Amino acid sequence: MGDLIATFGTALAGIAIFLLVLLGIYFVTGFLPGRSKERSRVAVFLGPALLFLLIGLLIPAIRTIFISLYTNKGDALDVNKFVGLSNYRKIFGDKATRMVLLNNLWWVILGTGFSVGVGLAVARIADQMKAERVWKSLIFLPTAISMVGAGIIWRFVYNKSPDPSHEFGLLNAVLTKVGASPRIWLLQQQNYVAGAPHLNTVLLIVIFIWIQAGFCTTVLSAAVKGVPDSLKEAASIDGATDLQAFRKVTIPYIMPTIVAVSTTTIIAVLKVFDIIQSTTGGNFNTDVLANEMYDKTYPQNQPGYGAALAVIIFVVVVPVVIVNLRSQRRAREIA
Amino acid sequence: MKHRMRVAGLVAATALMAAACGSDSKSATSSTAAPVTTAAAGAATTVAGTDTTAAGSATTAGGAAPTSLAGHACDGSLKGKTVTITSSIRDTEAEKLVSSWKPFEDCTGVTIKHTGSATFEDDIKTSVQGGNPPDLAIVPQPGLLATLVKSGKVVARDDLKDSVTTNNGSSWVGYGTVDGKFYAPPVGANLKSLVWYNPALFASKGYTIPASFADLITLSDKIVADGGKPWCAGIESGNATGWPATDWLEEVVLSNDGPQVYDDWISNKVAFNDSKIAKDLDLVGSILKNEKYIYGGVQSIATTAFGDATIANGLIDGKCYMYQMANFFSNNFPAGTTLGPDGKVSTFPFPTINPANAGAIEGGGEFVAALRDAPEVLAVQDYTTSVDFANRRAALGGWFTSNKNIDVSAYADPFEKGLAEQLKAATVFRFDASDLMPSAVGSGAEWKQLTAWITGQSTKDTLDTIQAAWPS
Amino acid sequence: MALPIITPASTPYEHLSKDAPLGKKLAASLSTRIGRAAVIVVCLLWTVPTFGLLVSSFRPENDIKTTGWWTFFTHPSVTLQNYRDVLSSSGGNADNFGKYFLNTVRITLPATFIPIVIAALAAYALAWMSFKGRDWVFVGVVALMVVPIQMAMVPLLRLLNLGGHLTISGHTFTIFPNFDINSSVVSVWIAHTCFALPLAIFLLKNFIQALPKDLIEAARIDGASHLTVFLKVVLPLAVPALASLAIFQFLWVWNDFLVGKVFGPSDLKPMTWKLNDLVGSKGQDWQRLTAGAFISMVVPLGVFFSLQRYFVRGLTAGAVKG
Repeated sequence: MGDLIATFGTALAGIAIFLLVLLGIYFVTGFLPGRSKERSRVAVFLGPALLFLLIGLLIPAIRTIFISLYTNKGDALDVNKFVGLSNYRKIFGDKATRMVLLNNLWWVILGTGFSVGVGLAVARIADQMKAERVWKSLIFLPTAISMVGAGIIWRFVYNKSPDPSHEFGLLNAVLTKVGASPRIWLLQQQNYVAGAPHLNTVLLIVIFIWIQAGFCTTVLSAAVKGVPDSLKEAASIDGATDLQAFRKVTIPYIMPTIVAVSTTTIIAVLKVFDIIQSTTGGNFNTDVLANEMYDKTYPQNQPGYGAALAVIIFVVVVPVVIVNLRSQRRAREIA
Repeated sequence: MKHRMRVAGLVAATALMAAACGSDSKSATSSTAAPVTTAAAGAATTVAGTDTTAAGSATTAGGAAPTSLAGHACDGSLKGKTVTITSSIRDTEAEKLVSSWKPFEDCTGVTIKHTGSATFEDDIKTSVQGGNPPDLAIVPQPGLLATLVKSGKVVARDDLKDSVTTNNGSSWVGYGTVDGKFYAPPVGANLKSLVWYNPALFASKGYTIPASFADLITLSDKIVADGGKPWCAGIESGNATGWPATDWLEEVVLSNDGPQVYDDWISNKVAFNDSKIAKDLDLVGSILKNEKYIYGGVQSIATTAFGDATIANGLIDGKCYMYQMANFFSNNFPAGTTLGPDGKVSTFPFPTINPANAGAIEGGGEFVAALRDAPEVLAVQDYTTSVDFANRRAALGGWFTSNKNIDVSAYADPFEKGLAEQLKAATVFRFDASDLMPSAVGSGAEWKQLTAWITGQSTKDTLDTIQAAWPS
Repeated sequence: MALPIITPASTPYEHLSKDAPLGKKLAASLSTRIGRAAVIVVCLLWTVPTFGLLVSSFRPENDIKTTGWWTFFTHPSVTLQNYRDVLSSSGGNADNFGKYFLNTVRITLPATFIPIVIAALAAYALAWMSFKGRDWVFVGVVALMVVPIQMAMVPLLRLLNLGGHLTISGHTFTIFPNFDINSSVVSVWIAHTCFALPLAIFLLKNFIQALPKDLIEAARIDGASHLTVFLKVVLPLAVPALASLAIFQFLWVWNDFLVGKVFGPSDLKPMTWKLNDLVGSKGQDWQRLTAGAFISMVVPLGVFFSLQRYFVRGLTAGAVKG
């Protein structure tokens, strides 16, 4: 315990020194003439963040791009041979890649759509309900659970035991109760509707939605509450129904929040790998880019190929980010 | 064999080799690694029986403290030095490991800090590249060892070659050698060519242990005719899902086509989609893909963990009759389950397919590699591969070694003694093939493709895809 | 200027104006009811898996492995053994969760506080300081959200371990100091800070930018420096956003596995690491997993429930306007 306090003492001291140094720079540069003073102040505010981003993300990102042009001949630990775009060619030449990209698309559509959708619906309906806090807390609950914990929890839902009388998988137990035969859920690779994603992929997306919806609800619910009552009243005087008012007044008003939440969720979806690792390991046609990237980089020791996959994820997401930022700005202008 | 299993794995293999030499060999043993010895042997035996902390078994019999262990004087000269070790060994196994090297800490004064991790294979790469490797790593695959060696961080130990040859045999020197230099001596081993069964149940039904693969199929059919399910099977293992299927294939290749084809297969001189391998995989399929044989159905194999409770309980309760898995599966039975021919569950050797290869056996092992060149690190490395260490670890149960100079009576359990006999009788020993292949295949395509094969993919597509993944 | 007042949520039917046609009123009230029922159903469904975990954690080992947790209600048998096992610090099944719990606390608190301070400063700069390329810096920061942590770990780890040194004609200059990563928790804090910043800056910038413009400009015209505006105007107004973000950051760090595993010294690994170790370490120790998982959830849930009111004001722009 004392040890713990000492740790926090050190942390606090460290942070204090850090802030004092910033403050010092701030005051010293106060004596600089006009423009350099302004610039140095920007540096004081923005500098620390940029430093951390540089060492933690920017340099690694650039390094990843480099590595993606190399291979590790002879199963070496580090890349050692320049191969140009060959890793990328391999990725796009692999027939399994199409499935992975398609899965990712479904993850983005369903994972984001439902997380934000459930979040919005609960935020709006619970807003008018008595025990609002209780309902929102229940939705939030999974957000407080680690991925490792979530993996364990969903084991107890999707499991299929060889002996039906000893079934501890909830879904199969329910099915058996209503007279249907139990299934191995994670192996359901058929699509029941043409063009739809495989059932097992959908079941994995459900886990993601289960975790992410709490975040969406919480953020969106705060935004819904921020809509001025005067606006809502005006709409109802015009004879708009509850739903119409929500669509025509609330949604446009909170659009920037919706966009922010969607962007965050899309990025979270594209980084999903823990759910896959703890369930199917990417087998049974459930693989996604981030999981493939991890598997190739570490267990399969192909850092070049893994890095190329990371670059592809990056390239796919950047437009999403830019479009989102733009539409967010536009929405703000309208609101 | 990948991941978790290795943990348990050590156990078996070690024992086998041990058996090979019988107890009198100890004195001969003392190679560099475990020089002190003679008396040790005697002491070790007592240890096995009862008190592990008892006295340094190595040097002096009885209670007196040893004067040296594994060639290092017990003068406390390493006091204040710390050696870190990482491995995939966790839980109770890890506790046993730690208490096995306790005497060496008492003897030399060194402090050994062990961290076992479920994701050891990934972590070791990150830490070596990230610049904070452990001092010692217990690596379960020669392939991974070679990868680490190529980073330039592993300390060569050619000085240990002789003792490893004496204790484990020259093939074990080979597994620890990369590009002509010797790096990592074995710490533990395991036996894979085994089938788990329930002796009492077999006896009551009048089933006998099959002597050949044909007998195995006959027995399976008979069990089906009697209304039972002959086989349990599970290949799920997180992101290493599929490795148990590679063991199946390896055992069949070794027993059907023999060691030469097996070695050529590892080096890809025999391609993965060669007709021989295809035939062998189909043989595996004649069991694993036979709906009538598998408890829970063929599809369930892909999602059932290799260590699942339904398998261990299935064997005990007679829901299924046989399960192909390495000796380390012994750790997956409920506490108190007796092992061995007179126990609740036991193993029989994987039946011979081609009589010409009778007695061929597949196994695996773990190797200890030094990542920091310091006297205390190398000293601990010496000790972990010594006879004294093997005796102590064996006495704690659930472990096996390729060390032939171990005192076989040190094994805590008759089960491991039996394995030791089996290894002794083996005419050919081969290391797990997937652990020797390039990681793109042995830890990648082969696992994924065999998993897809279980769930319906054709043998041809499966093998073609694996072959295509072979690094050029 | 005071913070805009947020009025309590309106009561359900208030919005229906008195002269709306009866049919419309009925339809609206019906749809409201259906909507509420749906929310209740969804909320309960959401809780079932977690509830199953809670129930399981009190069931004996053999029950967990052979029957569903719902059979508990027909054949109840309760044990605290699972919790005893994971919490005890010695013995065969000891997992010493207490130690890992403290490790997680040690990692989480600073790793929550540091990034939020830094992000708030940056968000202010990006929202209210004018400089060239401001928008591009912001886009760049947001784009960095996409960099997969798995790829960023190794280079950062290298830098923290070995430092950054530059050798020019025989002289070595240290650009970045190296940390004793094997004994210090500082590296975990730094790693968490790096990986948390893009999202934190993204969310805070949106919030801070949406603060009333006249307020900040008025203060600037009155001669207040950026520091004064930041401390006296922006921070007080941003408290709800900072609080919500802090809660999320706390949850993310608390539940993190990857960063703690890679950057944590061997003695200071987080609880999730220990939990992951239980998965399949020998057979499937479900009974210990369930208890361990529940212990790891207690604090995050406590934090959420006790700080829930901060969420009401929320994280993003919409909440402050109006």
